[in-house]
Amino acid sequence: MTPRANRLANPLAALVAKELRVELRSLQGAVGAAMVALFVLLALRLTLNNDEVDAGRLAPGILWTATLFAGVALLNHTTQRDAARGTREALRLTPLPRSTLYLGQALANLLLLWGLQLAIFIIYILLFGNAFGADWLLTLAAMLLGGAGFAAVGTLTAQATAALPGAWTAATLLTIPLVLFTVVEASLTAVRELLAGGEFATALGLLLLYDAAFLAGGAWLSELAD
Amino acid sequence: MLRVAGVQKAFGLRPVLRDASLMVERGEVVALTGDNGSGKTTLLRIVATLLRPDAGEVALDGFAAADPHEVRARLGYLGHDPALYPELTGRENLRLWARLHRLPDPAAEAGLAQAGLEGVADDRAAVYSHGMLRRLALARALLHDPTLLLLDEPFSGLDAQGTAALEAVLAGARESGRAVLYATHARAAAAHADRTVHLAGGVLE
Repeated sequence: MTPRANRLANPLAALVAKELRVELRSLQGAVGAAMVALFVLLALRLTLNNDEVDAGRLAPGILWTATLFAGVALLNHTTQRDAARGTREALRLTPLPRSTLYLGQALANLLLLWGLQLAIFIIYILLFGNAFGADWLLTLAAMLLGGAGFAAVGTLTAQATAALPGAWTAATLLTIPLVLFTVVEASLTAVRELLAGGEFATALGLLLLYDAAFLAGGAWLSELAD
Repeated sequence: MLRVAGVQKAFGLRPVLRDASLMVERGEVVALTGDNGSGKTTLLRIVATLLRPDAGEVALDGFAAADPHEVRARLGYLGHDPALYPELTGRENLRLWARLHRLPDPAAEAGLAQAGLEGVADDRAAVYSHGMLRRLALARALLHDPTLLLLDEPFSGLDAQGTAALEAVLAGARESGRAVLYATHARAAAAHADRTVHLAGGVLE
């Protein structure tokens, strides 16, 4: 890395490291989100017969249902924690571009979300069995790719609504529709095609496109809001 | 240095600042007094680029709010809350802000020493007393050697050591040419300033 790139990257790395350290030491967001995921998966396990949980049909939907509800809880918590304790304002007083502050939060949220998605995947296999066979790694990869767009949108909406009354609800109501018909749909299609032995590269390509668009759009909108 | 000209701000239908104008020169310590709810914090937040005025201009070292990065690089701000991470140690908190200002870690160590917190630097901020948190937050505000220091009720809740540290900061500001604007509702606290401006009815007197 060139000295200039190193100087630019440093604050971003510091923001990501800070967020991970704060969350890993408190576990307030991660444990709460994991519990939400566990309850969602348990509720679905109790209401569905194993016969119905066809790998190509229901499994991706179950995984994304748990990811959406638990993920929204995680993203809202980590982002709005900064607003509640005043540190968001302190961060906004640094001479960093707003896009850097957004990207730092979004990247940290993505890493935490990936941890949550991994936990959800493991809990799913424990409760429902391995419906993915040898394709489990590719299935997980398609889920994690969807997580990038989810983290980008969830971070943006949580930051945008942080100062509003009912911020949690507002962010949730904005995030879920935005990701449901884009990254979630593309990820579901990719996993279904993958498990059905079909062509999944197009869906994965679309998923990457959504991820990039949401991340770039989030950074751009953050700058506009300054 | 700092120029505030004809600033107006309303929240909904309630005007808070009607025509606030103020100049603060280098090395000058100015107390901004006023009753609770008179708009002191609002004015400080506008100067700090955290709020946009409805009308009027604010410029720091010739940079207007249209250049927020330039303004933010030149000011230190300490609000009501210390706004620190309780999960991080005092040292980690200051190092974080040093890196966000692209400063080397020794700057954070100097800040810890200035705040008299070297002995507890590796304790989490969660176990710090209110006074220690205020001192740590003040050290953060001074970390990047700002030309203007904005303080909101800085003497509130400080112990003797904290008050002495703050007085040293104000004295040091006069010597180093740093301007300080601090808000207080307590007239006695205004005695630390070179000059006092009073905010009443949205106008500075």
